[in-house]
Amino acid sequence: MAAPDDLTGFIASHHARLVGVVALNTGDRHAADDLAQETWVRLCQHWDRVQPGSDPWPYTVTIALNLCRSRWRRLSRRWREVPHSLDVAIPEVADDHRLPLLDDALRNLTPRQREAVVLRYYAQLDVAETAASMGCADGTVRALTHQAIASLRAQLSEGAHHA
Amino acid sequence: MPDLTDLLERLAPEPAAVAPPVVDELWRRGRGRRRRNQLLRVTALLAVIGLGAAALAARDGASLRPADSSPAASGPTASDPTVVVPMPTSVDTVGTAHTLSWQQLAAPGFDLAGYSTAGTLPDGRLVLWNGTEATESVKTPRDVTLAFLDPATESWSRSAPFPGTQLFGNDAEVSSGGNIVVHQYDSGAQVADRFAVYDVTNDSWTTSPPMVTGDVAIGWAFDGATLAALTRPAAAYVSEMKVRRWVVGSDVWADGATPPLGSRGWPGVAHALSSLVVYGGLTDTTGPDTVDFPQSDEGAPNMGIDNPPAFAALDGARYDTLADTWTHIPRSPLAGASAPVITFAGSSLLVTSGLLAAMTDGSSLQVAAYDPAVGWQLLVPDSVTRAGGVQIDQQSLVASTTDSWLTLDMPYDTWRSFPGGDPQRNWEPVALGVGRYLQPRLTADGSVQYVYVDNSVVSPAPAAPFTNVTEARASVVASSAGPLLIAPDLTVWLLQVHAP
Repeated sequence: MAAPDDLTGFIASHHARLVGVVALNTGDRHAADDLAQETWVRLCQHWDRVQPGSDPWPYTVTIALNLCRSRWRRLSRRWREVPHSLDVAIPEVADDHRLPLLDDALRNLTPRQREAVVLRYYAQLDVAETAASMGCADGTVRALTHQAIASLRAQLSEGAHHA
Repeated sequence: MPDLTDLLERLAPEPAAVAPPVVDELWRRGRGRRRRNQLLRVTALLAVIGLGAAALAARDGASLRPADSSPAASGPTASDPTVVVPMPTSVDTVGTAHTLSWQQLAAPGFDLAGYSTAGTLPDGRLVLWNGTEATESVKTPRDVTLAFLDPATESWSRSAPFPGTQLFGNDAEVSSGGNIVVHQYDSGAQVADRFAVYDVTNDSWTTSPPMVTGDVAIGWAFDGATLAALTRPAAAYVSEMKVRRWVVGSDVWADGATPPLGSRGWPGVAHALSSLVVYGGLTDTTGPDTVDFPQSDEGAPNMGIDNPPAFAALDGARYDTLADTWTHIPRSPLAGASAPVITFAGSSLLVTSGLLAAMTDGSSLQVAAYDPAVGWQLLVPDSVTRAGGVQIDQQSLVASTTDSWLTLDMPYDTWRSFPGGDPQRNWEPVALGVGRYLQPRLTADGSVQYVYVDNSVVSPAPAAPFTNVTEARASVVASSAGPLLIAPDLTVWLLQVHAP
């Protein structure tokens, strides 16, 4: 049972970015692989809904976001931990101290702020697509993004001074 | 911030390090799931019709929860079925603060990487378990074991090695009777669920045979001799549930009595000793104990599901592992919701209604209690405040909102507000007992400040032994000696609390 060519191409070209979206939202590299796989299975399950010629990426991101939220609900009933760092290999860049700071700063955002930033600046969704994925109004996305960037800027600036 | 995209690109996993998926396999699984859903939907409809009124007969037993040798908290006591309370109230500093100090406890003489806490034994020993992670997530081989910490004597010990093969999920829990139960499951139900029971007295493990491949256990109860698992097909979101019974030491699973609830998805499940309770959830068919649950096709909580169920059930049932019988729980006064959160509170069942039909509505903060002798009591009516999620911490409820945490404990009539609302940063208050919490807070200089809350009295702890939160990963655990912080390297800190 072979997948349609257009779906095969879409998954192949977007898989790494989907893993990135989930990893940045959950902070868990291992869970990102599993949640990305489940996202693709659900997309395959509902591939008929994707209109020919339309971009499946926003719909895919919406499914992934819901799985991230469900994962938190599931995990939060099991155990608690003081926050942990993103379990991914941060590229070694000798002259850039901002990456670990950004890792910290992302965690200081609220979940909605973090979703807005990751969807707008990493998943490359526009405001309307981000709003649709998050289930809120365009203005809410703009407000969340504005708040998030202000917070990130302040944290990175403060962190740089302490570095 | 013009280079934010660039920073995020570099913070995310490098594309070259991400293994490519097998698309045809994903397609096979997705389309197979779709076909099964369509078939099961028709089958479930016919089955529900066939069950008829017999499934609705209320046959309340004397008690939901059997007697437990461990001290149990009292249940809700409100006699007015519609107690109206203000909510939420903030935690205020009233009275003289406690004096707090950190004391480092002895470290174990063995490694226990990647642990989580599994509960507390009746003798006060804390149980840690390092088998939670799936094998494929473990970077280096290691022994999988249970570790025990006695805070009173600062002594560590560990169990015989876990004899089973690790699956995707391996959840350990101290059962009410003092044994430790491990539930193993696969992420896509490609491998059958299985269980293991650890006998604390004899330091011995007993593993079950695999269950039916394709079924998942959504709840279990263990009476000390028989483990009963509540299962449903993994491929179906809404389906009939079944009971499978395993007598520990045997090599077979046997069928148990069928739940009198028809076809359901996303019910709440709780267990204590020989009791397994199922409440609520969503269903495709209307009935005397259902209400409309008008989900939009693209909306939560059931994103990505064909024709999501249109009704929420408000009744439930209790299974007794000793008698292999079900007792119906009548309709509750709660709003219809998906995935209600339920737990035992003394002899009563405590229920929050769960996720509402529209994602933007979040979770309802209604709370009700059910006792067979009293019936339903609505303890907290609905409010405009919504939660992103509600979880159970011991016998307290903890909810997250956009900008705060809410807690609810006995007598379960008033939510209290704590600062900090980001659930993924986990600045959640950790329940230590009725009205007592420990909450880590981030100070202006970036260090962690632990705050001990005893009802309305808030006491800041001295500077935390961990200052860099991104490296901390310390679990906060209630123990008989007091709150414990346990770091990944098994450095253990006891917060000593001295009353004013």
